[in-house]
Amino acid sequence: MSRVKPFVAIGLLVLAVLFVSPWMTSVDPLKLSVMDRLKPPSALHPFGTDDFGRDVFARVAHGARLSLIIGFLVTAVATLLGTAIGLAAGFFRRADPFLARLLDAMMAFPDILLAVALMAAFGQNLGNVVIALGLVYAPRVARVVRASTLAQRGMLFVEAAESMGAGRLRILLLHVLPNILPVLFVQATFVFAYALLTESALSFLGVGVPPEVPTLGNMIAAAQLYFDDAAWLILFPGAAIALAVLCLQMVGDGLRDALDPILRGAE
Amino acid sequence: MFAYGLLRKLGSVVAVMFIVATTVFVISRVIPGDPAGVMLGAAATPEEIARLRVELGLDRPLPVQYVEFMGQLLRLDLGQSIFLGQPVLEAIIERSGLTFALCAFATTLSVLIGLPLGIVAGVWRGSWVDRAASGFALLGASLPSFWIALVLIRYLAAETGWFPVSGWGGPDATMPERLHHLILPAIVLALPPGVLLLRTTRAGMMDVLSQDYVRTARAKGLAPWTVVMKHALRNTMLPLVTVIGLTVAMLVGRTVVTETVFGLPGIGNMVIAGVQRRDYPVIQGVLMVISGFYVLLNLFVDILYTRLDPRLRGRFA
Repeated sequence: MSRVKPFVAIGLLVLAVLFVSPWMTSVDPLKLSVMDRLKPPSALHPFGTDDFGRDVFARVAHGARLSLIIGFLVTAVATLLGTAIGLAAGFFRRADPFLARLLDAMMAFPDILLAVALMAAFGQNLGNVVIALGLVYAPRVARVVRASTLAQRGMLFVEAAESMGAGRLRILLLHVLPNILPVLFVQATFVFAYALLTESALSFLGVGVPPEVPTLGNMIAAAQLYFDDAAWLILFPGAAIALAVLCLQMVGDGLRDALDPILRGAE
Repeated sequence: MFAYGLLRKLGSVVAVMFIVATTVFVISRVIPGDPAGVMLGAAATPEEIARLRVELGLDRPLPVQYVEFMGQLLRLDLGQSIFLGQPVLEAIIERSGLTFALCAFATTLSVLIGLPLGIVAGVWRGSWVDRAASGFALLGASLPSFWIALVLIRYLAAETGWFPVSGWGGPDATMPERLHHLILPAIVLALPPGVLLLRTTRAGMMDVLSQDYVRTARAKGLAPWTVVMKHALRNTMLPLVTVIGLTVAMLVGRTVVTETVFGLPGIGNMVIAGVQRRDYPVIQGVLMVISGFYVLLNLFVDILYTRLDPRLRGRFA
């Protein structure tokens, strides 16, 4: 525990800094300046400027926040959907064989490939990215919730609630769900991290959010032509993605270690 | 018992594949508007669109289309790619060699990275080696793969010329030339699964080393590394079989990114080209083939698992 907490705290702190970083610069990320095209990092522009003379630090700061917001929305969709499916599969014996096969089938699609296919079908916009990635990661939440629910179902307090005449929905929401929240929270943290990586990859491949939306992945995709002469255009946005993902993994790992006895009970 | 278990498992595989196929069908039919119109673009005449609709079977009611789709799949017919002018299955098979080679190379690399590092980290738990390995694992799982690819291309290929920038040397390239082209893509691809393998090996090693039989082996005076390599590693290998299976499956999906960045004409690249050209049959076909591969791989891993662990024989779940 004692070695775990600092990592969680550092991770959360850096994530918070990334989120508020747009306030650390007064520069407008959209301000064009042809005179300052492709300037290397300097005191005035700590991350340099891009091919339109825009300040890369301001763009990375705004892009990081945007990516975090998208990642959070994906996590919310995946967690809500995954929890509903997982609880149903774990608690209703009749539904379980079908739902379990459904989850197996959804997990058979590699995450990025399924996301690409869904985006091709839905069409490219921000809302669709959130829905597509939410659908991709919901089974990954549902699997964990199902396993935990199965473990909880056999517990004495569930039997006690049943014998007192509590309804199934009541047991599920008031007795089972609170007990799987810690496990759910850990999994949501990892889904958040995967969502950031996959969203940036989709943007990079040109099948994610539309190119004019300044996410970190889109910034990297747009800067490819200039990588040889202006490496900062790609190094900084990529480092920002990596930093956010790293922090989320640190938080997830730390929480999982702290909750280990609970997780073991779920297996 | 084994035959019965296998039969049950096969039933489950058929059920999963049925749901996979249904999902692919649903995805291909939620395309807003008219897929035929989208595929042909704005310049198409209404007659051309109508002809493609008939060709794709879109003029028939949905349930009929569904039955047709399933029937075609059973005959291993994945449809026709309009843009490539050939059956989708044929196009996939043509490109699968490269993707297969890339994945095999990357799997080998990930085992070469993950296994030794995981063993050392698990044996010397808490040492600087362990910490360095864990740090590497955390970092490796956090870097976006397309970004590492770009950075490697920029610094190890374009600037120094040590590696080719893209492609795979064309059809006439010799074996060493091809391998040379595949080194950077394989490294990029191998990193996330290598890290997963490292973590699993480390955890397994720590678990096994704390068991009684290991203490016995040490107490009777065996050399420390004999105990690790001969006694501990064998029991650690068991969960690793699953992880390596998972690894291969993970790799195949990720070729979408790697092949695109490195300009390799494999299956992954074909998907992205298919998305850009709105070539829906190609996207559907690749989804079917890769998920089918994943399901079969899982089955194979399950069978292998029961063969390797005598305790599980007859308990084929």
